[in-house]
Amino acid sequence: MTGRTVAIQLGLLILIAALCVASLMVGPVHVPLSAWTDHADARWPIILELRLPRTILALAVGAGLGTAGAAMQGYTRNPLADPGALGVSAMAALGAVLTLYLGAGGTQPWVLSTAAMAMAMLAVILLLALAGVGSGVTTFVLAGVILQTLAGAGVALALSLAPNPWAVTEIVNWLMGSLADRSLDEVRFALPFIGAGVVLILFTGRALDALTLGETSARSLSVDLRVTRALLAVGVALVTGASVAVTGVIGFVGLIVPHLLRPLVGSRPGALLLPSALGGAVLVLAADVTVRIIPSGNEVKLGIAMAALGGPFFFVLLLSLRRKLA
Amino acid sequence: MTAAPTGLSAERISVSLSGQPILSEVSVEFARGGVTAIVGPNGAGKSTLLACLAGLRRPDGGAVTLDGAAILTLRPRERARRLAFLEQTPQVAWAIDVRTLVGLGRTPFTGARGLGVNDHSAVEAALIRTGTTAFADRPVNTLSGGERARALIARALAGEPDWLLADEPLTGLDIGHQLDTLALLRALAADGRGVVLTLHDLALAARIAARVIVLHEGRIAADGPPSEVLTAALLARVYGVEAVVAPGPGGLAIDLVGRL
Repeated sequence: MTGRTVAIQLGLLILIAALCVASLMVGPVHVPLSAWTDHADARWPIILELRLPRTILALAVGAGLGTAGAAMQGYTRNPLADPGALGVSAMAALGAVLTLYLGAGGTQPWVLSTAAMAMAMLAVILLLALAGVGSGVTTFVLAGVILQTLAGAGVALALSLAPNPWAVTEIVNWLMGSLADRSLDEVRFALPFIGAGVVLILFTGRALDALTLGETSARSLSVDLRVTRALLAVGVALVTGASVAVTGVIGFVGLIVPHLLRPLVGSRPGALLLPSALGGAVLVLAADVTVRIIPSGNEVKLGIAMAALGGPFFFVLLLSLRRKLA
Repeated sequence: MTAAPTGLSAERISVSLSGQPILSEVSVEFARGGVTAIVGPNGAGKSTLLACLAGLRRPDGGAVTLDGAAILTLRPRERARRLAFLEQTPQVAWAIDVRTLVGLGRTPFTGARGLGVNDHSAVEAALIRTGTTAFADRPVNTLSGGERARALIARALAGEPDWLLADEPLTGLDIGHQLDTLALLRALAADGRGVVLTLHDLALAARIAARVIVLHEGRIAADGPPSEVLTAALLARVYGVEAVVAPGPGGLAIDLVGRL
């Protein structure tokens, strides 16, 4: 079984490599491989300043959200858990929007990111408080709905009270989630936080495995759930907050990826974390390459493309779950 | 100290929940090598007592001692290696296979690297001991109730514990599989482990256990061999039922006459 997990991870790594090549080539301006080595080529800045940051961010955000989703599902023992579906991303977005509304987000990038991460942390803590470990599917989804509603109301309030149309446009554009026109500065800013978050989450693997048997059994097997909870809350908050801060809301990654990979790794939640990181990177990068290929006047926003993909997926998942529960 | 050097004991432990006493100064000692059944009416405090004995619940007063050391002062890994706990109607969240499930019993021994050679051999030994090898590769959610019960016991056994504490291990099993599970638990005790169970069914308790402890309103109402403990007078006092108790071919025959 470990052999199979290794094979899956190798396969995902190969996919990532192929997608990286595609991501550096594809866009409004086609950049063939021949231009890559020639620094004098006029298209070189496109690669370095536009496509490279975009590619790295897609990998990092995808890996982070995939890991966060897998860990939240493992911890709650609920296949519907994910930072997007449970309102963590929406709360992070609210934090960011508030700084945009107050005008601080544009001037100091760390203000926006810190606000996003702080709100993501608050969201995770609220989720755990509202639903707790091992509550049923319904409780968790309801807790998520509460957070989504709160965050949505806050964002709507900020929009309706926005001082000028320019702020409204900025907020709306940013909310839709995109990787276009990101710079290496944003990469430098987001990467350490997402990386640290993923590492923290990876430390929960043993506890997530034991939690398959429930909270009491996990404790009887020497798992300290307070440590697990702390690692998870901080890890998910860092990943989601930093991701949302640089790309806006990109949902469904943490929902789709672990679900697809789970049967392939034998369903053990700890074994699902690393493959979900790789799978998330694949999904977001593939989606980002796709939105660049779609012929349209303005590029389709990545967040919208993911929602278009994730919505029906969520629907089918819910149907199959209902059949299983019935 | 009154605690035996290799035993599990509770000394005057009390637990109350929002002002309601659940356990009142319960003192009890267990030795390895036998099965003890804790019985009693609903709400008598059976599960709470078992959770305290397993070191999973801190009593408001008193202390639980494992092999001479206060159980709450043991490192969790140390405690978990010596004592396995099977919770009531355990849920297995994901469609893991039986071997993976049993491997979870090695959690007190593993770090970030997962199972090592020793862990794998302990898992195989637990599978063999419980007769679950044949379906070790099947997902847990496809097992029958009886197979599942054995797989869960194998999980507890994989940690090679000296003590096995199980809360209502027979819930949801048909009578045939109840007898199978009890036979397995008794065999595990005969290997030298201490087995402590909570049970609902008095006849089954009498059949498996050399010793029966009756809890009533958070206190021990009786403690001893089943034939001495489970008398008509006790059933009337503790359960409020009229019953005829007679020695039977399988232990005790308890014929309920009616509610008192």
